[in-house]
Amino acid sequence: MRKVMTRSKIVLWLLIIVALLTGCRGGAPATSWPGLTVAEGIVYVAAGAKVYALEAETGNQKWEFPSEEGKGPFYTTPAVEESLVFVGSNDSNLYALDAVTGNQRWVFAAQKPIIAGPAVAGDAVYVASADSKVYALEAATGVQRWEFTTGNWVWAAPLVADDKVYVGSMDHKMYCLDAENGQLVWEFEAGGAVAGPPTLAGGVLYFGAYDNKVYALDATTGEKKWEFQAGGWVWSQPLVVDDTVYVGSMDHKMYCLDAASGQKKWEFTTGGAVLAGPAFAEGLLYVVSEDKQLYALDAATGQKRWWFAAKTKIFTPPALADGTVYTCSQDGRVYALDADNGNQRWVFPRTEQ
Amino acid sequence: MSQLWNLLLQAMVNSLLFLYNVLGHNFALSMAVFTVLVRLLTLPLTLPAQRSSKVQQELQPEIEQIRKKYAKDKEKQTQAMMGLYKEKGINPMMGCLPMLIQLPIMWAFYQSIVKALANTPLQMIGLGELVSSSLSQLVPLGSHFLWLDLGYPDPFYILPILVVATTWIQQKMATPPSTDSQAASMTQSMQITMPLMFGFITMSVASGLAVYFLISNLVGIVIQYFITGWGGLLPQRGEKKDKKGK
Repeated sequence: MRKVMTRSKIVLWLLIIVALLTGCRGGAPATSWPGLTVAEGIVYVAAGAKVYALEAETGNQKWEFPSEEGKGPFYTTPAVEESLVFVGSNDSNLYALDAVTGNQRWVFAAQKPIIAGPAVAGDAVYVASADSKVYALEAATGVQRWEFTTGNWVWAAPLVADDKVYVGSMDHKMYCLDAENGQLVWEFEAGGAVAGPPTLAGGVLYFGAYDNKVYALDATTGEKKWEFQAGGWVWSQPLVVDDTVYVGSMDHKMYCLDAASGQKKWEFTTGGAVLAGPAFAEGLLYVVSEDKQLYALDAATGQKRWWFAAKTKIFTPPALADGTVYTCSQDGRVYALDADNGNQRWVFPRTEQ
Repeated sequence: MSQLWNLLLQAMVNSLLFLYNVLGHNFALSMAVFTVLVRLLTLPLTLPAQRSSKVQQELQPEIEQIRKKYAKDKEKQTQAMMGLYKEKGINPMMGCLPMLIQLPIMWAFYQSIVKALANTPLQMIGLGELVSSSLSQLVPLGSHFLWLDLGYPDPFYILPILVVATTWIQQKMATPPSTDSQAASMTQSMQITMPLMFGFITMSVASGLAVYFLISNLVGIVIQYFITGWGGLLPQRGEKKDKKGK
């Protein structure tokens, strides 16, 4: 009897250990949050342990980075400026790659993972890190010009416009910095962490926060013009088209707001959290969702025109070029779709076709 | 079923965040308080196993006598032992069911800590789906405690050592001395493997989880002390003398 007792206890303990070991991965899938940019006929994709350059027309691979293991994974949207591609990595490095060959030109080491995509303006590249800092670097060499420390991780990509750097932090604040020297111009405290990048249009800065709100601030002074209450965290970058703001929320909805007042015009409900900002072209709004779908909505009414189902969740903002909408699902598959009807033009990797 | 699980997880994550809010935004302290609360709430489920273990410990001389008496007849040995257990009003298997029932609770608790310590975007999505809007302003949780960043492993390996030591002590206290050599060697190997395994896990996971293992062990040691005393940790003097004599 004692042996039976001992064995059953051992089985119980082993069950606990197996469960613990499974849970130690943190409960999150071991894949990355891919980023995608289209520039000069090339689609640059940062997904998992690799950065790829693909021909936008055909999906043919031009190069991949890195050739050896130990770099990545990559969470950030690549930024492209002339001959260089900048991509941040979870290994805490910002890599500058040759846009033609994918060879590494230089690397800059932050102290913690780089979750946010870099921003390029003039001869400088601006990058934020989970080490709570925003760095300004020489784009050509990677030499640091200045750094600014916030009160928590920075997961949001900086926005550079009119010699100012706008960046949100998980310390609940939106900062406006002088792009030249990193001096603080103003700061605004939201009611929750700011994880998504802002958008600037007509002198107004729009962004969302974990307090379920969308904020509109005067970009010069940082004064609040209006706020809109969503039903879940607002992580996605707002998109402004004329007098309208489009923004997604973790309450599964895409909201269409009046840019001047923040009044809701319409909302569209998807089957999952909307974490990425939408894209717009020819009266259509392209929205991706955690429900694995890419939706094309009538931007004026929010009516669904067509939709495309990927195999896994989509967190990556769609990009548009020459009548094609590009997106990448969480498993790293890149899809090129006809922007008019959603017909698939190609998928990468090819073997998945 | 998954809805029920989500509700349990949601309740635990929000309770943890509520405590974090009222305890001065100290996540380690809120984990400690929550661990004590959960252990107290599950006490009715764990007590039968611990009491049964204590009674078995007290019955060791009689069990040993039965073993010797029916050394060559296993069937009679089992019957005699069952008779003894019946006479003393204990069921050696009764400890298992409550342990099984409390497993989902402990697992949900563990998961809620993992979720609350989210430090990557993908983990944060999971947390965002659980946190009530009134507590959203607390995210991300302040992760610094003493020398630790609770979202990352302990760089000095102090916690793994403490976890190994407390897991070993707790196990030693809870295990009644065994006279059956096979069972004793099995128990002994478990007493070494388990703490090392937990120590190994603790080295690679967020130190917040290591703090939880440590607090949980310390609470377990206190509860165990009130039920069995130091148990197998400090063998009775008579036993020591017996061993020396042998």
